[in-house]
Amino acid sequence: MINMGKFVNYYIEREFLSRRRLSGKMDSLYMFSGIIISVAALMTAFALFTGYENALKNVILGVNSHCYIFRFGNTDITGADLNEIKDFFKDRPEIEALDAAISAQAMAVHGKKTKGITLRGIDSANENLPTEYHRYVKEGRSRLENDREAVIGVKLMRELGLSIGDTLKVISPLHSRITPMGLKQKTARFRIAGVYESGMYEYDSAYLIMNLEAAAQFTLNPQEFSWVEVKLGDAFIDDADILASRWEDELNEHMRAEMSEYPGSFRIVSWVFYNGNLFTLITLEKWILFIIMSFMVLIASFNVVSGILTSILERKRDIGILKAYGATSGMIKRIFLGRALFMSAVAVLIGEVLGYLLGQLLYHQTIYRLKGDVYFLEKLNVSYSVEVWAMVFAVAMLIVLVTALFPLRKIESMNVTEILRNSPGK
Amino acid sequence: MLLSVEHIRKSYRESAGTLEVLRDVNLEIETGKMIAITGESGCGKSTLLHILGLLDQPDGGKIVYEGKELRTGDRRIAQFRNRKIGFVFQFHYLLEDFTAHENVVIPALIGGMNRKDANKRGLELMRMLEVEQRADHYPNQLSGGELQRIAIARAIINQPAIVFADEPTGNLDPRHSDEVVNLIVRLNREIGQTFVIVTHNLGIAQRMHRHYVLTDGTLVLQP
Repeated sequence: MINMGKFVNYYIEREFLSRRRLSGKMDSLYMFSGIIISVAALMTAFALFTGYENALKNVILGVNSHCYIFRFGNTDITGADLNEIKDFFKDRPEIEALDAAISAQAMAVHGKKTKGITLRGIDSANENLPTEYHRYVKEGRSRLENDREAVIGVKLMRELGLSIGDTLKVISPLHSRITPMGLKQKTARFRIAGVYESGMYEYDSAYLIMNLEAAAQFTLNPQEFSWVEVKLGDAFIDDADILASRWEDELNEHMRAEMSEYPGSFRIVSWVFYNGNLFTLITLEKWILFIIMSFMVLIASFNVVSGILTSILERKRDIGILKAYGATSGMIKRIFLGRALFMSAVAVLIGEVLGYLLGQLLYHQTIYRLKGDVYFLEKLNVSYSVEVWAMVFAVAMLIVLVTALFPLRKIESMNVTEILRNSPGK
Repeated sequence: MLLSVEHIRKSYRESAGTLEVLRDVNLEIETGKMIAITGESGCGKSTLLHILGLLDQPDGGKIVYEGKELRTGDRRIAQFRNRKIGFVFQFHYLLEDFTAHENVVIPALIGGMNRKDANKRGLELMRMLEVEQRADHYPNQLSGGELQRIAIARAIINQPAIVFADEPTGNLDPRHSDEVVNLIVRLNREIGQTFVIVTHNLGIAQRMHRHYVLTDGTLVLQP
């Protein structure tokens, strides 16, 4: 039995080591330049989308907690509810942190500038909050020392022309009252103690964060909270939806059993409920883009097809001689395929490195920024996981392999006697 | 009998009609013999050699190797050709990107010999054919005589039963031509290599054991 591998490996190895083939190798690089460029584009696009997806997920899960516990209807969570909820979640391994929060809409006024804001009340002294609040306070202090201090979103601060140490007036139209003396506005003044910068436009341009007590006083509901926030362990984040659904039933049963006066049902909603559609859309777009960009690699691989075909025709005489000496069409095909795949692999790797460098350039550049109010994030993010490298490499190589098989069929139909008869000697 | 062909026919379809090149060719080749086939240009000598070497398929007739009938279309014919048949052509047809030594060992590697043994055998043959010092040279760095010696080394590396040579001196000057013929005769004498040579040169034909002339599509043995 003829051993295909020995001869094919020898032939390819000698050809690549041959000093005479240097110019041919350079020609091949030109031939594979399309692959290099298209793979670089594919790599960059995929890394940008993956980076955007990851960054958005990180920010959303950093700014928000993983689950929210509400009361049904227009009722806030009371201090008694909070104690029972804490009791219910006490020994659950999925839970990393749990705390109450207040959220309300208000108006911020500084000088002649006015802006609608989201007022958040949290326990700033708690180091183990259900959100990444402490991590996102980039300037000043995250821990608020009294009820007259607040942390402000970086965009909001810039829009209102504030800086750390300035005082900001906040008005709550919802909690204003009509008195015999006229409309009595609910107002409060807060000194800016820190700057909150999550990278997510929606929050950075609206958040004013204060202590729970301050927020409760401002919203006229002392000892009441908007919701309870729950942070899950990393291993449970993707299962948040399932856990929320299960806990909702169990919590309501627990409340019925433990509280003398059942306050009404509770609802638990996970981050997936709020953002699931957004991430589904991003993932869908990412893969559509990947497929579209893969077509560029397919088009570039036509260059390889014509290159192989040219190479076959140029080496017709060599093919004839090899066949005369017993090489099968399969052996010769493997020589051409092996060479094309080796060169393609080099081209794909060069393309990937080029794509990586391009991605790094986009990540570090400061000229172009995303529109934060449209894309949530302003900075371009890139993500290069091993999966991205492997996926791009595998898809590009598969495309080249499939397209390279077509010109190789020509070898089968090449007749030795015709080749020898028509080949001039040297 | 090493190889015999019986009633071989071959014709080509052309725009002007069918051209019958081989009408009824019969030939018997014994081991260790040198056979010359001469004839006018275009009479079908190369076609016959390609059929004998299992590179081309006849329209009719039988090719029998050591008592077993062979068909060019058989799946294992490439393997048979690799092990049993060697070729030398008018032009050396060495692979330009490979050195002389690499060219010599290619048929051995196609046949599955390991690289070390093939290299060793290749160098032995090159020494025997007195071109060892040119082992690392590329074809364009060699003279016509050296090129044909390398081609002969390539043809015999697998110790084939028969070597078919198609005008092996057709492209050489008289001095190099003599060198190549002397080499063929020497190989026949020293290792008993069987040769079938197609040539225009009657001088060469006369040095072979038997001389046939291909005329009117049939082989005629010369006295």
